[in-house]
Amino acid sequence: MKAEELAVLGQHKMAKVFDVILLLALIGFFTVIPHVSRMLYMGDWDFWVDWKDKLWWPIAGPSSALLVTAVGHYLAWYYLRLPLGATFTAVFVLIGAWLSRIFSFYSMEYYPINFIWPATTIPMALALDLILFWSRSYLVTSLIGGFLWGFLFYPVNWLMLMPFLQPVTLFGKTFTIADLMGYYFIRPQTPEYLRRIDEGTLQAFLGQRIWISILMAGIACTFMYWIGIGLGKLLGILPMRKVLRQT
Amino acid sequence: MAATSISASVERQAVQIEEVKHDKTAHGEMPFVRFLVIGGGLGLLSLLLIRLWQGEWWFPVGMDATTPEFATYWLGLLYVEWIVLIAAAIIGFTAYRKPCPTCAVQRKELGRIDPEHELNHIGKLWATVAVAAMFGFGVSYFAEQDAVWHQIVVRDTAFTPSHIPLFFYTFPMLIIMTGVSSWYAYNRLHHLYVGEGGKGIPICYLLFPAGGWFLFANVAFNELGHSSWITEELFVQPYHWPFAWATYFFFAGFALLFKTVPRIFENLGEIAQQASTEAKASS
Ligand SMILES: [Zn+2]
Ligand SMILES: [Zn+2]
Repeated sequence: MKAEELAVLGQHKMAKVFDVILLLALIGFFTVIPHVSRMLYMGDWDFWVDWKDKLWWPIAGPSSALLVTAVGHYLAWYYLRLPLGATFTAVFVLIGAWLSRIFSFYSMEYYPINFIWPATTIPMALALDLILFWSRSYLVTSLIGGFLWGFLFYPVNWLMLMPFLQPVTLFGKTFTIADLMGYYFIRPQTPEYLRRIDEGTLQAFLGQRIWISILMAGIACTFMYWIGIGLGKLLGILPMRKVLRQT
Repeated sequence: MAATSISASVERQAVQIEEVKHDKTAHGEMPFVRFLVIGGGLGLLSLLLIRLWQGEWWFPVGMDATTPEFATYWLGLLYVEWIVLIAAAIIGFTAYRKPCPTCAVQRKELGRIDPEHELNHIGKLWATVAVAAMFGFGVSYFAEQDAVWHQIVVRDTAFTPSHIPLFFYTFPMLIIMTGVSSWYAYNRLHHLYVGEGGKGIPICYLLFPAGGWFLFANVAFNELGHSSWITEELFVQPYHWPFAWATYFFFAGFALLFKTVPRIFENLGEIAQQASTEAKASS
């Protein structure tokens, strides 16, 4: 069927209803799948501002967020030729996370929003989709878009994190505002380890520490992009062709 | 006497077949939209009511599982959820148990299914997937809510106010709704997946409900883990990960959906052609 014919058929009332239903299904599944992955792989770092450190959060955060975003990016391109999948996933996972923070963390257990905001991935998702759109190549997208995904995660979110990294002195001790908030809101997830990672040889890298972490994140995300593509192919596309016990 | 009644019934049957062949009742209507609105609306309403119930009774009677109030308010909610689940399962699976009679008549009399009738079946399949997706949304909401519940209460039971909607309502509901999607595809649109007269089970029928099943299966593993080790310091601990892996099976739902896309355009094309020939004939 030619593209013009398809476009004409797409104007049919029924075709438009199909579009709406597909959109609802996409919204539902591309909220739950990335959101569950995100809460179970980077959960604690995403939940609490005092967990947003310089070692684990900039690496575990973007790589786990990319996994399912890359699937959305891939399926949208494969099935619909739309360079919108990553952005769509990033937007709806953030909506899901915000609904949870507002209606569970804040309005049921009264943690202040300042303490529990989720990290965003929308700017990198836009870059990922645009690079695929321009290059039409998964390899180029993984090398440039995947790298930027990891590399930009911390700088993009740093704008929101910055106010909570200001130092305060209380009872003769100096810590960040994020730490102070953590001491006031005692939880089982009060991080014990943050004080530990500020020791060790990583500290010897002085001001370069965050650069090392986000470089590593960029490389990790370059690989993670392919895991996402493989997952999308294995569970989103191959099942379409495979039939058991066909006669 | 007997002969007249037989001939009357034959006549009635002929009229019915004539009606069904041209499917006058369904022309221009989209019954699957009604299914989407009612199914999605009731589902969303149930999630909203649970959330309101939690807001009201989460702190007053939710903190201690050994009290009688807990049994009244929280186990009461659990039993109501189970009744809803059983009702949804019975309605969903019996409604589409038999192949569609209209399709059967059209196949026999016309040798094919009317394009608009088939489009309605495809639309309903898509609607079941969309309704399932909405319960998926409930899964992600109540799962993260569970993370924050464990920040304030020491674990004392598998039936906490956050687990009751998560593990015992949205997980089974996802098994049921994704199962209904596959069941509907099997009983109404099987020819799109295996070819006309073909046999076999496309694996997307199995993989789509497998997501809900693996979610529920990991409840067993998860509760066993929590009964053995204290892991409250870390929500991202390893025996939560299979919950994330389970959700990946829902991608198979898109294989289930997109398999029908070529037929949608074929059918729309035929409807457009029919309309243009009818317009020519009338002018
Ligand atoms: Zn039918
Ligand atoms: Zn729990």
